[in-house]
Amino acid sequence: MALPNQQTVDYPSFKLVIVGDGGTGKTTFVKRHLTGEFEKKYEPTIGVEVHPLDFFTNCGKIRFYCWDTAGQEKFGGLRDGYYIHGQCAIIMFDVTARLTYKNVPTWHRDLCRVCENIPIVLCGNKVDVKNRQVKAKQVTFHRKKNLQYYEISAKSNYNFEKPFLYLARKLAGDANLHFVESPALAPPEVQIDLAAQQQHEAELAAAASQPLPDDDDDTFE
Amino acid sequence: AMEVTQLLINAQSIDGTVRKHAEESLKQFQEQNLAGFLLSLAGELANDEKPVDSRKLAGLVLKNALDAKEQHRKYELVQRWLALDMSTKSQIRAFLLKTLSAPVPDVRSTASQVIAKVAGIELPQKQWPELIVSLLSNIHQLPAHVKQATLETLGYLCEEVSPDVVEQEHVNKILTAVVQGMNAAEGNTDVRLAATRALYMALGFAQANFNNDMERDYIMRVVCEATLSPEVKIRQAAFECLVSIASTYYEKLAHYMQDIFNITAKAVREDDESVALQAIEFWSSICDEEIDILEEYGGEFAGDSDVPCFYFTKQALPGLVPLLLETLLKQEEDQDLDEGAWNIAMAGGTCLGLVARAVGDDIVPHVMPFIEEKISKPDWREREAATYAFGSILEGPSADKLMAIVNAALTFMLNALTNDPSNHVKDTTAWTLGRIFEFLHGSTIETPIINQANCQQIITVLIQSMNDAPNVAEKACGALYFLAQGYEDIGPSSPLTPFFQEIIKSLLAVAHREDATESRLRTAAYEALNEVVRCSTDETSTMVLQLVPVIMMELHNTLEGEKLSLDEREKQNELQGLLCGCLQVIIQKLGSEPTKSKFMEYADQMMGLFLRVFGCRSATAHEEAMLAIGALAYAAGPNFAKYMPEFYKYLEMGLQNFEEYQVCAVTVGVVGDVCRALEDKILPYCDGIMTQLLKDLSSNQLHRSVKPPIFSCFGDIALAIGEDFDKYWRYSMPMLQSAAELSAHSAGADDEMTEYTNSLRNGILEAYSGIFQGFKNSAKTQLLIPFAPHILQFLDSIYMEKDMDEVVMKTAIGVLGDLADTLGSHVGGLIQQSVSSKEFLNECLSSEDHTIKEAAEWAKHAITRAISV
Repeated sequence: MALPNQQTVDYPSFKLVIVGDGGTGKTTFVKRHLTGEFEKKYEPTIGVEVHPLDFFTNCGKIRFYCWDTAGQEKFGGLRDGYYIHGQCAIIMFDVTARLTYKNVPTWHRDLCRVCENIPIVLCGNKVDVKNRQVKAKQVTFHRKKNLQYYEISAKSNYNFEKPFLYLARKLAGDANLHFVESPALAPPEVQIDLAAQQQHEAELAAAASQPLPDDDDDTFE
Repeated sequence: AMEVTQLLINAQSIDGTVRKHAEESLKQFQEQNLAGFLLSLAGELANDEKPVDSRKLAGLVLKNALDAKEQHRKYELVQRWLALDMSTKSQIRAFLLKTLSAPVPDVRSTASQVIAKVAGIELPQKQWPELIVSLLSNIHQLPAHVKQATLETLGYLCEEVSPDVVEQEHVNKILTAVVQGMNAAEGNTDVRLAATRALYMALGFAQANFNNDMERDYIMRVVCEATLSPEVKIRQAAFECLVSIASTYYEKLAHYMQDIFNITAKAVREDDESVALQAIEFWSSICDEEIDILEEYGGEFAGDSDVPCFYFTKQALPGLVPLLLETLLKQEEDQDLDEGAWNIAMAGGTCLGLVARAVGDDIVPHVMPFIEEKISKPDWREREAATYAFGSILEGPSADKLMAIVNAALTFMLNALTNDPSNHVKDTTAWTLGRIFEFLHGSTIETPIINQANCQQIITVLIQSMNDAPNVAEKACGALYFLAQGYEDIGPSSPLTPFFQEIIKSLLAVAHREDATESRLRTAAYEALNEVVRCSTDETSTMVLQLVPVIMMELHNTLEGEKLSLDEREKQNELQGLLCGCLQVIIQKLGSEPTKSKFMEYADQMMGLFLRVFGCRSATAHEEAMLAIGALAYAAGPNFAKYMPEFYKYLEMGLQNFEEYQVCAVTVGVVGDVCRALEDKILPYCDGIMTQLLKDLSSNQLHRSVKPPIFSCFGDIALAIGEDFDKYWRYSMPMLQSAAELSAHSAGADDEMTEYTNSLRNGILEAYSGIFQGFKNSAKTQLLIPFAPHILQFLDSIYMEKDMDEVVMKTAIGVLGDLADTLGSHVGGLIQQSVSSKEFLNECLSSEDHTIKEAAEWAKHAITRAISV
């Protein structure tokens, strides 16, 4: 189905809405597919960013227009206004931050009020490898609402494709649909990164050999 | 009013430029003329000539102008609405009510949400008094779609508005309207569905009605009838009501349980999966409630619980268990390959596990016949269901009850894990073995299920399974993990010793499997390896020692790889993290005598590898290497000083890593480890470390969770360098004081804030404790005296707040003791004036927690000395 003002592609495309508290890794998760690069820097999303993500299935290519929405209310823009015409959704929380799980019902409720009856996946992201706060046993919300739950790690790619595969199967009404090749990733920029790392280290070494800055608030005599 | 249609359409464009421009224009309109803006939105929403998309967004933007999740934003928006002129507000209200009769369902639904938000603001102010009357009169109107929209509105309104601000007569009428809408007599399906969903939202609002027996009987009857509606959506919505009632009104259910059992049983057996899952969830919710209540019974405040346990689960056992067992036979093909699979079989197994936890021993006779009958059937579904049933009931019943069965089943399970032709059966069998070892094996179990006779076989089978499909191998690793953990406090000799070498070898081989990155297999293998090492005894320390160069070589190899693809590099980083984690466990195992001196021969090389890991850009590997270094510092003690010149820059780099704040947090912890290891030899690095820590504290970029540990770290540093800490005094003290003030003001907010406040207080107190202890017996003790009044005030203020956190309590009473001990008679008078030295001390002295009590006794002793001089 065509969304308003949509530049259409000649294969099926779907509007996927991604919601959840700020800092739970929604943007990192989407960008993972775009570049295959783990985004470490946390920059809050302002309003919404739309990313077209293509997947290759045994039934042909499909596209998810991923509406990566702001988790922080102060940057929320139109908030649930972005959900209009959403055809499927991912609710993200961080298993290392209990509060982000407690807010899942609210995100789910707001979503269902704008998009009735769409397939939804609940994703527990492991943002921090240590210090897990929400144990798998405590994740019961998906039980109440018949949602699919996946634990993912945007850091290690763990289960990255699972939510997309689940949604694609539901949307296609074909439980046997599968992905036939890995999504194309943008060429890595390893060389540049290594150079940056070396430069960073050189700067650090230079800084270490400098006397401490003579600035009264930060130094000690 | 201004035309907003095109802006609202453009704001939904996938083209970012178009969208952002439209959003910007909307924002400007709102800023320039709020009343005009809101009125335009309401007008757009109400206008049947306009496109659905612009109307919907108009409604949502209007709604969002009235409400926010964050409390202070919400407050601002409410004030802003209340300040609007009356004529604008009445026009908007009129537009909203008119929209409830719009022909397009989506638009009506949006209007319902907006009306509820306006009501949420205005009803408590006694404004819009005609709203409820007007809605109730709609109910008796035709056409049906108006009635449907009105019921939806009433549902949202009940959720938004407290019943206290609505006259009881209106509360009753709303409930009556909703429940009548649900009634089978209501011929229109949409109306009945809207009413059922409205009741779900009104359950909290209807508390008074639920407390009235007659009204509750009526509501329950209508809900139960709705579960039998011919419309699947209505049945599902009705079961969702029952699930919610199960937790909200558990104590009022006794009278209805027989009927509810019958309808849930029918739904589980015959209905659509979406309905059947909700019917199972009803029982899972009942179990959750009873598990909580029984836990409270068993806890400290026995009998103090508000809600008694009605043992519904126990009474339902004869019917409920067979019902759940049937669901186990409805597995999907290949669900074993999808660990997140959620379907009726998984829901049934989950519920069975909860039932076992709620009723304990009583479940066993109800499940055993099913297991015995099915476990050897030719159909894999029956074998798998029997195994899953067995695995599900292992947590809950007593060891005594299960022991004989488990002993009898063990050989069978081991055989199935080796020989069953079905991957799914093997997967569930390996999981069940893991559960057996998790719950029924360990020092607290009287008669061990693992003995000399079967130990060999168990290990052989688990090791064999590690060559099986990744999902089975992963669960076999999990089983081995719990098997090793059960021998945690076995003493000098472990039954695993004869197999130690073989186990380690096999786990390393699994980790090297080509497909080890599937099903988290490699991670599971290293987790098991770490646990086997951690729980090993001195008998095998030579073998652990031999493992050191092996793991180091693996880590070395990951550092050599060049020109890797992105994907390979990522897996490499993950592996580096796992290997550093493994080395950390080994360091902790071997880092004390008698193995220490031998182990330390590897320290230089190992440190070199860790430092190289820092060169790879991976937060995970970085964190793990940092933690391993912390362990190494602990083991090396003062000798760690030789690594400091090289390590220091990475330490500083970690402390500067605001973005990956977890790295920063781990590094702060390692600074503490290094302080304890080096003691005063850390002094040359303290200027740099303290500079960085103070910068971290004053940064608004750094995640706040890192800040409390930084305060604790001040304590570690002070303890290590003693009176030399005095030069940081004038920088750290104001920080501590202002943080203490902040923590005093932010108490009593939401759970998250309370948790943070407690961790902040704990950090501050640990800093004080470390400083006092570090300065003890120093000539510079005098310097601390001026700060004593503030610290005592801080202690008093924490105490005056009720419900003190136990961890904070323990640290706080410690600080009181340290203060008295270090400053002695200089502060005797001050201490005597403080509340802490009396009520707080007494409370701690009579604490049930013996660590608090001990700290309090010591504090009392120190205080007595301070005031007696």
